[in-house]
Amino acid sequence: MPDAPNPKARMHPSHTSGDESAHPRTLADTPYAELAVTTNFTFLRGASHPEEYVQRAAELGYRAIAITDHNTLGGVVRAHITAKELRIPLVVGARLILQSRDWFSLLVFPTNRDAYGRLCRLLTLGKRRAAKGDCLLTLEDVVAHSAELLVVIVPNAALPALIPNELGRLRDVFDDDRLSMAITRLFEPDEVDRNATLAAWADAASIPLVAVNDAHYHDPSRRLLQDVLTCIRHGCTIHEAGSRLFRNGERYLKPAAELRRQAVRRVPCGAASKSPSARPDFISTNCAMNIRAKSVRTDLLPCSISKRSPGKAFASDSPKELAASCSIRFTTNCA
Amino acid sequence: MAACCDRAEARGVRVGLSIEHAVSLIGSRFVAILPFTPEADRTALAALGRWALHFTPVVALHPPDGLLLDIAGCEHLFGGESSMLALLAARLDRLCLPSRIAIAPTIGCAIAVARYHAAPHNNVSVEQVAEVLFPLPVTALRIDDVTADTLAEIGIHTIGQVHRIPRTDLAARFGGELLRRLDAALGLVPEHVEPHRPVAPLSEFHDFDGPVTNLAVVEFVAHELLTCIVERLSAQQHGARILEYTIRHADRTQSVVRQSLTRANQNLAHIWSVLHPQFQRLQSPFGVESIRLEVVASDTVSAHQIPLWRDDVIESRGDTERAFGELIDRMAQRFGNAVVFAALRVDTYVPEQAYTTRPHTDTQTDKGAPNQNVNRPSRLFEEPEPARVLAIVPDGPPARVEWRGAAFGVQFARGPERLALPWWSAPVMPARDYFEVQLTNGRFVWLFRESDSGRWFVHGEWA
Amino acid sequence: MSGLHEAVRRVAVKYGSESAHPTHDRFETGWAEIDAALQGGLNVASVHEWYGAASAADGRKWSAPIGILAYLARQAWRKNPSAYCAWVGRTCLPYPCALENDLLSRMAFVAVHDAASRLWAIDAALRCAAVAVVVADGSQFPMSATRKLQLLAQTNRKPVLLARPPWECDALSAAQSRWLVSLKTEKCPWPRWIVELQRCKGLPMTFEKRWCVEWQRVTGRIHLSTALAGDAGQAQTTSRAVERSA
Repeated sequence: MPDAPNPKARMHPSHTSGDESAHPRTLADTPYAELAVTTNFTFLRGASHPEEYVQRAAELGYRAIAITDHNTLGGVVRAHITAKELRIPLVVGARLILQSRDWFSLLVFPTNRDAYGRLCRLLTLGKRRAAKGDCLLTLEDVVAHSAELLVVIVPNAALPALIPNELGRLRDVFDDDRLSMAITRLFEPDEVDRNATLAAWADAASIPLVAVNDAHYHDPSRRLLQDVLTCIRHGCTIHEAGSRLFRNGERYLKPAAELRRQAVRRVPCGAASKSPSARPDFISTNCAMNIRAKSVRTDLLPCSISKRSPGKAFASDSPKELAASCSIRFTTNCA
Repeated sequence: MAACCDRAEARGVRVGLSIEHAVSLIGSRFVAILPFTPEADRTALAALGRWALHFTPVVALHPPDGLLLDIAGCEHLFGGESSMLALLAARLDRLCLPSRIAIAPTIGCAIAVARYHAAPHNNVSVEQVAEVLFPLPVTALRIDDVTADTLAEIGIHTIGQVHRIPRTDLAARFGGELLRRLDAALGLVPEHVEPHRPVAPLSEFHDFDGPVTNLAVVEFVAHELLTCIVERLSAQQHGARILEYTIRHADRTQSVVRQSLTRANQNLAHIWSVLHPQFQRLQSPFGVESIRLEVVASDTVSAHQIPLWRDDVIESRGDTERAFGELIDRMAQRFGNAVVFAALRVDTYVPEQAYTTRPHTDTQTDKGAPNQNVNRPSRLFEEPEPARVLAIVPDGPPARVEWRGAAFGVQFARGPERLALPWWSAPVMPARDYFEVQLTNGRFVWLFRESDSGRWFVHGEWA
Repeated sequence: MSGLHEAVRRVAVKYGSESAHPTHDRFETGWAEIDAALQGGLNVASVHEWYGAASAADGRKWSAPIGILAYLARQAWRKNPSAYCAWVGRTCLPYPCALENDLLSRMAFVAVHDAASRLWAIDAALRCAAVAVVVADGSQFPMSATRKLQLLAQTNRKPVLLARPPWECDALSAAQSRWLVSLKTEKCPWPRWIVELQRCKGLPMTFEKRWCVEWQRVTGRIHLSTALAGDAGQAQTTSRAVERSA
């Protein structure tokens, strides 16, 4: 059993803030890269374009920015063009939603050109199995295509008791320090306890933690649009949406300093072998450089992705117009 | 374009065209522009349905413009099917209603023939069903447009063609609905007419010989009217939900005494007990001329159910509901409707809007939002109570709380749970950071900080 | 056949030819030790008074033990879930989101304030066959009122749970049992209370009368606490060992 988290350290804010002021420089110098980014290429979930994320990440001085859409690499091309202009490392990746594994999803990042090819083949495989717009993948499929992929577990809201066992199995499957576990600071209820539990489990399975902010939009003002998209996805009005919306508007690209402060305070010291905010850098250095070396060729993208137009829907910021244009997109895609 | 005649249709006019298009086809002289009122059409159809009760007790409406008459056992009263058909057509003609009528062994067949057969009046015998049906278009089977279009695409236009397709293929390609409709029309599966029962509002009326100023007399008559109404309701196994007295005074003014009951009720003593106080408040300086009692809403009541054995309470579920309704009626009568209420969970993050209260009379079966299983205090204050709070870090948990005139230290704090409040409703409320806080005296309170002002409030407690 | 047998016995009990089995007259609190001490739970046909804790430093303010009452109301109501639960009194209304949906949908709130109206409402609710349990604000009820309620509870065979302010603790009352709820002051990550049985008519008071109950975050229900002071960091446990305070 690892060191039990000292409750006092969390309970007394003076304690943690004291920690922070003791090493302000080292913390501020720790680079940050956002690894969980959902763009508008994830249909009716992401509320910002890939290029907007890249631009904002460059403004905030992020070390790198990842694009991880749900079961697709579609947003990568646009992100890549902007990233090249702005000279910010782009981490190519995807978020895999797996069948019969409902407590987590996986962020996967290819470390080189071959791994990227394998990821494309994996996505094509999943998309061919399912109806249009859907993707059907199992953990076994991912494992079969996972050579040279870095993998991050993103636990969902509900944490079943079987997680410690599953974590051990996942660690064995993705060996060679390729696996990390994401923790978030989204001001959800019981987040402190939840992160402490996750940290303890991860530590027991010797899986390093990685801080992510699960961005769904690049700027807080896009929360309106994201809420509207959620309504369209559920076919309800904003007044009926209730708990189907996000609880708050924290899922944007935050200034690195703020995020780092929050993330560090979230996780009790000593629970994780490495600082969770340092881990993104490890991943971004390993993934971003290699992909950038070879330019991404669009013809490598899984076929069903390249067909879908990125959509002109988000030309305006007015939620009403967006709702109208999005619902049109929605119907045309479903027909 | 809502409707057109055959001649206009021959010139290319179709339902759904724009006015300009129709005018261009047949000229403005022949296009009548009137408000389109489907409700009025339906009311007129219902009236026609009541008229058709002359012919048979079982009449169903088939909107927008059809009536279904189940004439089994009635035809001999009119001298057989054929003469009945002729009589019906003649009567409708006298009402200036052009008609298409079919008598057939099945509902599906009757509808198909009446609407699609070349001749306006037909009498189809059992042997003729298939022969008459097969040349008719597939749309006569009451199938949806999509199925009809799909059939048309593969060159199937008539019912006969459909019938020739093997049944298994039919079910696989078009689903069970087409097959069901076909079988119903051919009489292979039974189909029944859902009778349309015209409901006349239940009412009683009393006209005094002259203006009556003695309100005791008015009260007595009101009670008598209620007795009659309750008897009539009970005979139909109904109970009253909303009752309304309209009292006409000699000076041509009206008073309305209206009473909603929580549950449908046919207990005269109870209904009168909640109505009576309203009559005591009634004033009529010039006297009452007439009084009318109407049942605005009623509902079925299971009057005599077999009792269920359940613990010690030997009664049926219907009795429970009735007894509950009477209790709530009496409480609402004494304290007012606003004081007696049910609460319903609402799916929203805003704590003070996460439930709604409504009167028990509201019998909609809405169960409310599911239990979200997040930690909420057992008591929420009507208004968040301002508190002075000291927090050590700007967005950190409270360390010291001054509230209701006393200062407390903080033993334990959990949070924050950040709630960004609705942006779509005005005024937009600022986001809140909620903390569960245990004060030094052991009390657990629910505190929040407003994001823009930084002010703190105590919003509830675990009492 | 056993069903019929049971039904016949119920009729016999109802018409007084056979005395009801004691456990039949009780509803379980679900707190094992307390149920054992009470020989099967709280009496169904009687008034139970629950004295809340005073809110510090503001004179006559007190907080009714709403969480505990809501939990007990559900325990009593569960014996007859087609019936309703009446909750009387404006000052002690619960936050509906903290109630479980099944009970919430069978709950009738009566937000009256003065003692006379509350008494009238409790009276009416007790006489109504559709009500299984009444929870009410019982502050300022004189002895005569509690005696009337106790009689009504007996004849109608349903429990009344009265929340009363702590300063009325010495007032005369005809209630069958009287419980004192106070805050547990030790640090703890979830609410805990000490419940103390002060009086219970018809029971020899030979057992320990103080227990600690706690609110379970996951279910929102109230359980007997196993926690001793100061073990704040531990996970909440569901086993039902009892803390015996001196």
